[in-house]
Amino acid sequence: MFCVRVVRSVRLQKSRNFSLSSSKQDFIRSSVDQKEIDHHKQYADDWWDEKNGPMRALHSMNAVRIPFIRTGLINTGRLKEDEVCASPQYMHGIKILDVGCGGGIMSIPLSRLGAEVTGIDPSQELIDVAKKEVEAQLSADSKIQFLTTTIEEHCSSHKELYDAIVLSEVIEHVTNKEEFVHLCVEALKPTGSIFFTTINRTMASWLGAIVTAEYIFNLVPRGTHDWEKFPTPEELQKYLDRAGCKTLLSCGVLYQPLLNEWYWVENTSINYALHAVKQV
Amino acid sequence: MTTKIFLNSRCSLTSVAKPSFFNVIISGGGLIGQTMACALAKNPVFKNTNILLIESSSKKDYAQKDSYSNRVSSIAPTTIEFFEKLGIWKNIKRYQVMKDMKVWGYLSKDYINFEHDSNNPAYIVENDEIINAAVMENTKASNVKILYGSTIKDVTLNVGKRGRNHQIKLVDDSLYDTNLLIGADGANSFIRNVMGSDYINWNYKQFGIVATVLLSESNENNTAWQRFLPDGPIAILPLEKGISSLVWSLTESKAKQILKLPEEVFVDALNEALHSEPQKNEVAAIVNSCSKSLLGVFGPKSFSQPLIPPHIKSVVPKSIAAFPLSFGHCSQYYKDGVVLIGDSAHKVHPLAGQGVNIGFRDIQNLEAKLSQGVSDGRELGDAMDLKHYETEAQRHNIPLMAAIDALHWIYTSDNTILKAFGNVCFQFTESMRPLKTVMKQLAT
Repeated sequence: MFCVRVVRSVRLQKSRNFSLSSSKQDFIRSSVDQKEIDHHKQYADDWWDEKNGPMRALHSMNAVRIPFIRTGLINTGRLKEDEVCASPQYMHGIKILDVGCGGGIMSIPLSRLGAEVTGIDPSQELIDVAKKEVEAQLSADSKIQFLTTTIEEHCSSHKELYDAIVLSEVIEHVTNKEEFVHLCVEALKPTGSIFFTTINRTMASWLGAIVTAEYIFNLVPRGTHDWEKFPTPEELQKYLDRAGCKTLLSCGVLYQPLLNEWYWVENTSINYALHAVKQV
Repeated sequence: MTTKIFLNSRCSLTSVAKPSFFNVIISGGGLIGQTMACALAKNPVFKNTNILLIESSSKKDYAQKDSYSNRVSSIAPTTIEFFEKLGIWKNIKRYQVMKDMKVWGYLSKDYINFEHDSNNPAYIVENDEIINAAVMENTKASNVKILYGSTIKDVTLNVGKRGRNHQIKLVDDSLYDTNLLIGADGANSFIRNVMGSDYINWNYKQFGIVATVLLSESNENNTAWQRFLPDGPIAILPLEKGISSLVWSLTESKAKQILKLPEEVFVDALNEALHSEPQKNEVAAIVNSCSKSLLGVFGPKSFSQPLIPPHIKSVVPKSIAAFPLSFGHCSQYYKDGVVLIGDSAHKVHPLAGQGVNIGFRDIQNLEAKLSQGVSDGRELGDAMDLKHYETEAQRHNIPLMAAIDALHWIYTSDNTILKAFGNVCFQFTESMRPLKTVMKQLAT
């Protein structure tokens, strides 16, 4: 959990772009100070250090979020259970959009499973990291692309294209969540799935994410997080309802920083995952 | 395919030859190595995974002989299930059902009787039968290549830009690249040395003598017998009607004496070990009678059936062999895409017949963790999956290994109290169902 906070300090700036109209984006980008860019660069170099890097929690989170996507796609009938057991590329032919993909920590494993992955992120540096990793890790025939863009730009030309959209550790940094969710859903095929992982706005998440991480252990620079921006599962469900999606499941996830492992829990008061389906 | 081309052109291009790549390289083609390759080959998740198995001995065309091999294993019911799943079991033509096992000591004739569920008995199988059965499956698999008569000379870890890219050099200087190196190369593992992890080991200063013996009895022979003697345990494992396999642990000096004996005298010594009257020991006698009256309160199962161990008629000529016994445990089972299974990670005293079953358990565990990793989109042999393998394996192996080692020390101890304790254990274990169940579960 604490390490995820570090990530969020990077994404904070980037994700804000999503909720703003493109005319304002240049303004926002030009307002990013040199310090933030240097920060970016530092993270970019260690992005794929799974063991000790600042993104280690996001790497280990794949162990819960990829099964979450798989189970979700089985639940909606997009994937057959016996296909999953029969082939390592069981996501073959499934088009996935990874919004706020960063250095591709989740996009690359999804591609390894055969999915056709598009990762978008406004940060050129992180997209470069992702592209470099594709060369190092994936075979040349992998169907994966990384684009430096925002959801506004992307969904305008990619309507109803994707079988699944993934927003992992992104939505909590967006100011106008409802508009953002609406834009994402536009790019989704009818009956397609949208998956979130994010943080709830509760006393527990305030103690865990703000007080403990930022003030007691100084794991994250103070003021990195805006607790008030964390969405509750109910709010997220409301935005999704209005965008024409039915929420199928929300489930809690808990991070154990010493072992760097994530576990499914019933309690959604800190981190949680949510799956919704676009209605026809 | 690429390997073939490479091998053909190797003579002229030794210095510039491009290494062949295999996703997985298994070092060691014994019971554990062959079964590991088979377990990976049979899982559809690994259908795009190329596996190279390197075995030092040359390829032998296996033909079942009339006489039994002196190296046999007691295969637990869970292992049989696993063999059935892999298609190995159907290839095993010769085995003996082991319905029960009687274990006793040298201070009284009280014994423990471990009965197997009649639907899921244990089996005694020759090691060569199992290896051959696995090889038959591996030969059919399109993604397994077995390299016989070859040994790894050198391993360079992490040669690539990203970690977990290892280069292997064989004795003939041919090069192979891999992402996952599995060490199934036994107690003196070369791969373990390459990993450089801590290895705790000690010598029991004992020898295990093995032989095939003929029995005077002509019953069905479905019982295994084991007696704990001061020099070490002796076990008689059924092979077929009138034929059994011997595993006899002795101190080094006694083993050397016994090995020099003519066969008839060897047989007499064997019968003496199995049939000698309980030794007189006052402390043990007192503890014994106390525990019997104590167990009487709890309503024990009486030892109504007298213990009648088999009588050895003769020993099959030239079947006698001996090997030193030791204990070994590696503190780490993995490191950066190198992982140990079977005896390379842990070696136990054969007194419980568990060594190989622990190894087969490692295989099932590793296969499951690697499969989980690939299904979750991780690279084959990701550190997370190897860590999970190690945690689960050690959680099971360490208590079991400690128990086996403790048994050895208790039953070979000179301390009268320990002797008496060891003896009374037979009564307690036999009388107390829960304790017996726990021991049985641990052993399967």
